Amino acid sequence: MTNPLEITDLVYKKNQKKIITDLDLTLKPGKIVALLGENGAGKTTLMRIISGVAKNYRGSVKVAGFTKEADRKGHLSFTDGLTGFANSTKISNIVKFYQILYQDFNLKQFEQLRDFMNLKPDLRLSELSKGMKEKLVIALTFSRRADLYLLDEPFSGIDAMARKKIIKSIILWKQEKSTILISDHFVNEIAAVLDEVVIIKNKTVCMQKSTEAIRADNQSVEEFYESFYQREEEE
Amino acid sequence: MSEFNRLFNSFFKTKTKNFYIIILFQLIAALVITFFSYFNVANWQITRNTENNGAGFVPEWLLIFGILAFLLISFILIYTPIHSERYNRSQTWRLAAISDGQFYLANVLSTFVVFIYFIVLEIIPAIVLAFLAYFIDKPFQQGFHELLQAIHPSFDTRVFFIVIGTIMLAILSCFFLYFIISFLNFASQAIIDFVPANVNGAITKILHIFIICILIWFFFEINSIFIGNVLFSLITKMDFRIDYYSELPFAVLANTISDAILLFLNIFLINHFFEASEQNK
Repeated sequence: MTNPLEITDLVYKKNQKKIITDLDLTLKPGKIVALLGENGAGKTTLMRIISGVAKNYRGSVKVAGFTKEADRKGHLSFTDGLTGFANSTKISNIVKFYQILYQDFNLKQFEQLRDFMNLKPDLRLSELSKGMKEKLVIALTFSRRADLYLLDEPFSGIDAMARKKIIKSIILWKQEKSTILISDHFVNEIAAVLDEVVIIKNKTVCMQKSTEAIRADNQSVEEFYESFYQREEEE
Repeated sequence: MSEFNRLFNSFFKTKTKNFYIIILFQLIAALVITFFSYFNVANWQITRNTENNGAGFVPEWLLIFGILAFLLISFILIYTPIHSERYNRSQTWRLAAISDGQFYLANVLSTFVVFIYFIVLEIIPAIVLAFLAYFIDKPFQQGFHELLQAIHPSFDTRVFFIVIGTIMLAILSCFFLYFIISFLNFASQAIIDFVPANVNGAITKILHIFIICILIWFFFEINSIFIGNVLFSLITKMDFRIDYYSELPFAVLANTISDAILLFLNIFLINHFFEASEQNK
C-alpha cells in the first residue's frame, strides 16, 4: 500500500530565513503520529507545505503517492482556522461550503460529530469560544474521507474537557487505513493514542520513533520528549 | 461536477450574497429621492413640487433608479476584483482540491460573471419600472412611441462590427482591470516574501507600496513600448485608415495580448510564489 506521506530533501526559505532544511519524513498507513517541536520549529509550515498552500520550496512531497498539489489536496484533510469566513457566518453555511467544495465531505458523519461535540448548527462563528471553534474545525476535518489528516495544534488554548472530547473524536472517527499527523508542543494529552513520534528541531526532523520502541525503553512518550531536550541541553 | 465547477459555484454564491439586498435598498432609495424631489413636505402637509418636475412620478423614479444603477455598477466593477483578492490569499479557499492556476481562473471568471449578473439584476427592476411608467404615464407612453418611430433599424455591417468590437473591448478591459489588480497583489507580495525577516514591519509596508508603484510604472512603460512601437508600427505598415473603425481591431488586439501576458504572469506567480495566508487579511 502507498505511504500517505513521503517527503524527501525538503528545503523552505521565507524572507531570507531558512525555516526547513533537508527534511525527510515518511509516514505509514493507519498510524497516529505526533509532530512535536518548540514554538517556531516549523510544524505549521511543514503542514502548509504538505497541503500545498505554502510555495517556493525545494524537494519532493508526496501524499498517497501524488506529487501535484491539486492531487495532494484531494487526498488530505487539513485543520483550517476557518479564517476565510466572516465572523457572522453560521455553522450551517460553513457546512454547505464544505459540501459544495469537497466531494469527499460526508454530511451524515459531520452531523454525528457535531452532535458528539454539542455544536448547534445555527451558531455563528462569533458566538463560538476557542474550544468550540476547535471542535468545529475537527468535526469538519474528520467529515472528509482522506488518506492523511493534518491536525495543526488542535489543543492550543482550549480547556481539558474540550481536549478530551477532541481526542475521543480522533479515536472514534479515525478510518482504519488513514494516517493522522497531529502537531503540538505538549505530548501528555495525546500520548495514549499515538503510534509514532516525530520531533522537529533545528529546522529538520531529528527523531522519528514508534511509541512501542519508546515504551520498550521503559519511558513514557512524555519522558522521551523531555529527555530529548535535556540531552540536547547537556550536549 | 468537476472541481472547477464546484469552486466556481462557491465563489458565485459568496460574491452575490448581498446583491438582492443592494437592489432592494436601491429601489427604496430611488423611491425616497423621487418622493422628496416630487413633493414638498411641510407642517405634515404634502404638496406637489411643480417647479422642477415636468416628468411623471414613475418615470422620475426610473430615472433616479438608473442614475443609482450607474453608480452602483461602477462601484461593483471596481470593488469585486479587489475583494476577490481576499480569496486568492485565503487558506480556507486555497485548500480546495484544484491547481492554483485553475483556482485563479475560477476566481476571475466568477468575478466577471458576478458583474454581468449584477447588471442583469439592475436591468430587471428598470424594465418593470419602465412598463409601469408606460401603462400609467401618458407623456412617457407618447415619448416612447416617438422614440420608436425615430428609430429606423437598418443593417449596416460597419455599425455591426463597431458594436461587436466595442463589446469585446469592454469585456477585455474588464479582464484587464482584474488581471492588473491580481498582478500588483501577487508580484508585490512575492517580492515582499524575499525581504529579510528582520526588516521592520512599517518599513515592509512602505516597501510594499513602493514596489506596487514601481510595478505600475514598469508595466505601463512596457505596455506603451509594446503597443506604441511594436504593434502600432505593424498596423501602420498594413496601411489602415486611422479612424475609430480601423483603430478598434487594433485596440482589441492590443488588449487581448496585454490580457494574455498578464494572465500568464498571474498563473505563474500564484502557482510558484503567492502563498495562502493563515490569517484573514
